[in-house]
Amino acid sequence: MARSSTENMITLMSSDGEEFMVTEKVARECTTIRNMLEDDCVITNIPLPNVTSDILSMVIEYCMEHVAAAEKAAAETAEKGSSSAPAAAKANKDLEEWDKAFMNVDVYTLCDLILAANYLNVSGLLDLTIQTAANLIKGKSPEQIRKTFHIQNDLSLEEEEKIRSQTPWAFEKSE
Amino acid sequence: MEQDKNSRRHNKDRISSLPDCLIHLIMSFLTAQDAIQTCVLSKRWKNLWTTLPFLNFDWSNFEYHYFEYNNESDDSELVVNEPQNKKIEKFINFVSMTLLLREATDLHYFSLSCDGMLIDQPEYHMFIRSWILYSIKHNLQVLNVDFGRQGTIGFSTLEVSLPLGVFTCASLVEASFHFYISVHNVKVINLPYLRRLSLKGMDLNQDFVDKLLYGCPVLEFLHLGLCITEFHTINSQSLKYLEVQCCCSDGDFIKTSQVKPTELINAPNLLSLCVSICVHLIGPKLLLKMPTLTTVSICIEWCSSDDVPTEGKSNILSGLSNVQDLKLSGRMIKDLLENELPNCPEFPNVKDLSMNDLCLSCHFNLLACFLNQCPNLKKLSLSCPGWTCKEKMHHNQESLKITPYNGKQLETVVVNFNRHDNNFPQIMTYLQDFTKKSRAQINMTSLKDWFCNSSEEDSQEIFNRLFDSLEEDSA
Repeated sequence: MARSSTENMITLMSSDGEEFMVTEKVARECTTIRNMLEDDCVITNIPLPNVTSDILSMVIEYCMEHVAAAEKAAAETAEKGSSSAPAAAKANKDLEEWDKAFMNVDVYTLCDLILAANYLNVSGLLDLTIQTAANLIKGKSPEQIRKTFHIQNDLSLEEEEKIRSQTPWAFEKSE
Repeated sequence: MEQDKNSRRHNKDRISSLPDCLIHLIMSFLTAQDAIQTCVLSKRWKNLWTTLPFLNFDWSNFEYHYFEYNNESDDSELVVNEPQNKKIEKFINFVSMTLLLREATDLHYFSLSCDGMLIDQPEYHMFIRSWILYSIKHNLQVLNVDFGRQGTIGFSTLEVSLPLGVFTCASLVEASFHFYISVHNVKVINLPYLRRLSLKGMDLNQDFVDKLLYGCPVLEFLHLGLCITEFHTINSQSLKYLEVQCCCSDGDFIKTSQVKPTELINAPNLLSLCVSICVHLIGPKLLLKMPTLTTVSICIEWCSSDDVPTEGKSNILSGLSNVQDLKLSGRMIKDLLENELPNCPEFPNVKDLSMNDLCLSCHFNLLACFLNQCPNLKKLSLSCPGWTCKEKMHHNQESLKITPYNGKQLETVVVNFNRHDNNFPQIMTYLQDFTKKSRAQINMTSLKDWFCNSSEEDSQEIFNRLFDSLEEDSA
């Protein structure tokens, strides 16, 4: 069951039946799974009916990267006694770059990741995805936002005019 | 990665099917204006903003949008010249209407940042007070009020007083009050869950500070910036992080004659202290009782070139004997060391020391003296001042008698040089001499690329050459 003597492996099962073997440390990045493990410590197989395999593999990729970065930082601190500020700053910057590259996905995947991060309670990933989505809305006109997220405008022209006239203070454009 | 799959569903609307709470979370990163405008996207979005628990009203963003929209209709000239009052009216209207038309659901986060010129007109004070009153009646957890945000231009001769309910708001966890806010009318403070508080540009007296620290039993983080400090003690059992910035380098916020020194900080659970303070604020009685303190940053400045530093000895270092991570900086650091070194205790726990703004070619002996009080140092960072030291070099190698450093644990020394400082080979000689007993590695970096365009290895090589030539000369 365990691949190494020191670390327990845990199998996560996606909604479409695919199995992912991860170390307990990586799985614990998801607060939802951590809580399950703490409730029942012999659990080794966790079905996740709300997450598809492609999204789950991305979440695992994110968790592995962040666990590795944290371990590296901890090892350096232990080695040198105190953390060196420039090295820590560089590691942080590298991780930020990685996050940025990781967020290079289409908006559909982004929204799926938001749902998965929320369900599995991975706070770092939730913050990252929410911020990325917000950046796509910031300073854009409604028409631009619809285009970015492929939102179908189901309001008739009259209805839209009515909303605008009810909240004219929010739309300087119409004045 | 999964291009095929992605392209198949590429044109589907996914964001609208997210639950309300997640869309609200996305909106929490937007200004109120951006968030509310989404109401015309589709039927799904029509009423989403009315239950949004995060409202962030930002004056500068408001202006930006206003400008942009009118730019499209070629009216930009007109907008730029539009009287400021019209803009203020639109902002007032925007905030008032938003609060009036939203549902009576929880409001967890309320942030209001606008220009000081709005405060300069007393007729608007009642609006501001009523907005804040609204927010604290809706289970508010975070309240940020800023009337002097960066990038704004307006100044105010008036101050607005906050509704008294703010200081007894039981749900409040985090708050910041910045500029043109008066707290003189506050009688009772009871904020049982407040953990973080930031006050800037505020006229504080001892009575208020006492009430505040007594009325916030779990306050952990306190930032006091550019406050007129008419108080002289800070007593708190709960404080863990304290930042005090009473430096006048940034204009006329402090009428220096009114300032009395912060004399005593008594916070037994403090972990981190960051003090940036004018030299004449430091009275002879400044005493720090903080046994758990591990991280300290102290920056001592003088206010302007006209100010004559007060005589009388400060007493800062003696309260810091348990500190592990110590950072000293500021133009008056030399005076601080000169004053306090004779009676300075040992710092057995200091592992990481940064000493900035001390001219090493003139005052290397001060540094050496101080280092010999830190026997267990592991890392030393030095940064030469960014200005030219006016004192002439009065030590040469012969006359400088320093006791070599005895600590065995010193591993790294990082020196950051000033590009205008021609004495750096000499400083290196001092340093190498001084640290010869330890196996410390000395690394040098240059302040704002001394060796433009050359890599770190190159600069080390150039330095070695200079260093060799120096040795030849002395031989």
